[in-house]
Amino acid sequence: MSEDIFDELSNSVLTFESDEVKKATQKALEKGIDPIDIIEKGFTKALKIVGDEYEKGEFFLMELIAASDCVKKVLDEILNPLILEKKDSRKSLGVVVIGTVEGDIHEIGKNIIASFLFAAGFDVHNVGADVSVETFIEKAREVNADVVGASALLSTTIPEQEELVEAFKAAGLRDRVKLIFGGSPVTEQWVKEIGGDGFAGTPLEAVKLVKRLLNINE
Amino acid sequence: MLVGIKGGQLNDFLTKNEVEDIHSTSVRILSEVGLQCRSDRILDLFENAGAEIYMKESKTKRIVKIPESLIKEAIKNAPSSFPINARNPKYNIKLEHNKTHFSFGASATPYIIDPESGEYRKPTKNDLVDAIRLADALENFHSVGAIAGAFDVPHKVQYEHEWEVLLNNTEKHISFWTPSGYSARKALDMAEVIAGGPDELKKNPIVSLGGETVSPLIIPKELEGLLEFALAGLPVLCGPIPFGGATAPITLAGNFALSNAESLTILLISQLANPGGPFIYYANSFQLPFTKNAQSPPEAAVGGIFISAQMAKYYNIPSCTIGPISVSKVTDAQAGAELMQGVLLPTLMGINFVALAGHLSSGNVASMEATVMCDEIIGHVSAILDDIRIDEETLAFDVIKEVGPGGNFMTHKHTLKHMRETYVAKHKDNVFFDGTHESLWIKGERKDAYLRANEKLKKILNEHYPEPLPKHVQKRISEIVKEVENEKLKKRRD
Repeated sequence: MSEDIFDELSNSVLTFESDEVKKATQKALEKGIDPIDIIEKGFTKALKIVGDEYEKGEFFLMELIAASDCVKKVLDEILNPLILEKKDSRKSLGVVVIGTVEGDIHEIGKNIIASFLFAAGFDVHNVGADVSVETFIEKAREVNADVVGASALLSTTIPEQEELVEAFKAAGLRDRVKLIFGGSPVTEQWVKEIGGDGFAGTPLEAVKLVKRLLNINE
Repeated sequence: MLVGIKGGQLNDFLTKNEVEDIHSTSVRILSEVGLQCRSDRILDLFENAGAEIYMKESKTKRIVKIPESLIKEAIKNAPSSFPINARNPKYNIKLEHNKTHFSFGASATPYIIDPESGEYRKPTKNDLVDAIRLADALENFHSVGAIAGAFDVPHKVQYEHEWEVLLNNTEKHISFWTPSGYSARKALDMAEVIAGGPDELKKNPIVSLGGETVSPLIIPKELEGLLEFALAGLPVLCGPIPFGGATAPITLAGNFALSNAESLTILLISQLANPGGPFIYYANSFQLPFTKNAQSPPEAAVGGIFISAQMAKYYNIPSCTIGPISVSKVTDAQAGAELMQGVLLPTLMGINFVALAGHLSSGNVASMEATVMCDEIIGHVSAILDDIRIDEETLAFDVIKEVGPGGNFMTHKHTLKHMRETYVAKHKDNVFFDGTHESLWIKGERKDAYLRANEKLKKILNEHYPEPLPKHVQKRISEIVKEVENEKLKKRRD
């Protein structure tokens, strides 16, 4: 019986409609399924399917993002508050804070990376665009981040990435947080020069990078 | 004065009704959806012109809705033809109906392909000097922009250094970009030193500037750069980059309508700043690389070349586009096909100003070899489309009669008289379209197109130095760069 419910949860994600995911979630909760099981036995499976199909070239980027965003919405609006109420916690591969640097409002690329990381099993806090280093630090402290990712699309805003590295040092957080960078003018060499931990040019590479930095073998 | 290629042989890609459907959708987007405006200066322009402003107090959420009447007036005011000048007047050009000119570069890339090792590496200010000297030497580029970024100077002052390189190393028109109103003002200050003052620069527009929206429908503060150039009376180009499936509808028509709405907004900004001022139109339909093995989508050419050219003619405004730029990472067969497409299609559509030659990997990589190839491809296309002379002398009936069946024309005086008029004779040093015999290849060094282009560019860099600016002009321009450094590098942020 409960197997069917988990299939239903997983299938709801594959409709890419957040209302369907919500409906399936409510139904599962009414049947007394634990919120953590809903995520781990229902959604994780669906996101794995979407991820695998993308890797095979069968599903497209938009489907992966849509699935990821549907699940994230249900987590944020329904399941996380319940889990918090029960003083429970769910497994995640790690906590990532991600945003676009101050002075830069380009954020589609960063949003794609955020969705991929979430779909891969990370707890992702997307802090938006035009974000000050102070906000990055505040958020990293608040959520106890393992990784902070900062994007910049203009070569005149990439110095903010360097500022971020310096600010994390000054705040005494540099040893605890991995700093990764992306954006059109950003290169591996630039990230090395500013003392960051990694660079990725595509969403799949970004997921691999974060897993590597956090020693996650899969 | 340089003459453009005779283009515009292809036409009417869409019907008049389809063109009008796109236009009216763009007008509805602007009047019913509106744009988010991040610039106070541009918001003031819109407000004074009578556009509706919503949530004005919120810098990040305020929306401007543009009535159709303002767009109509901007289209009417924008000129259909104007000069694009150069510091050496022999390189002046005029944008006019169905005449095509090619411009080198326009994007300060984070990589250059090293001409010695063939490897990708970080570009320096010296690389930019070389690339600009090369473009100055190649005859088919009628305008020049930066290509490799000056990535060895502090990024905050990178654009000032790049403008300094451009102004010093080409006698041709300069068309480039700036990241802010401040930076545009500094570029204008430098250009004014050459022209002799702001009024002289306005009369002699030796520089122009591109500006972009952030799709969908955001007017970023960076557009104040374009505003500065428009206020100074100089030509401005628009280049929105919506990506279908991400920052625009996935369908080509909706993608283009959104892009067109953003281009019309930039047109309006230019015309509110300077009614009747020179504006160059461009809109497109890029696509997000959404499959795992991303390809270069044909849809981009349909919107950015065919529809864009037709819309510009509908508006009676000169057009520009992204031309011979390849998505390939190296100068291979893919690059060859894409460069030819990027030269031939815009010319056949009569686009007036075709930019971004010399870039690979969608504009993230500078290649001087690709630059040499583009120049020769443009030359070929230009020769293919050039007028041909048909009269008694060229039809040569008397010559055919004289030589007769079984004879040959090799040494006939008609051949000796006209052979130097052919394209090949006029371009003996060309290397890209190699037509030599295979026996030479088998026995010889087997140099492919990359190596041939590489040798040619090295030869040019050894030989070609543009006329330097007068010493006092060079000095003043370098002082402006220093002043910006002092101002920008002492503060953590500006």
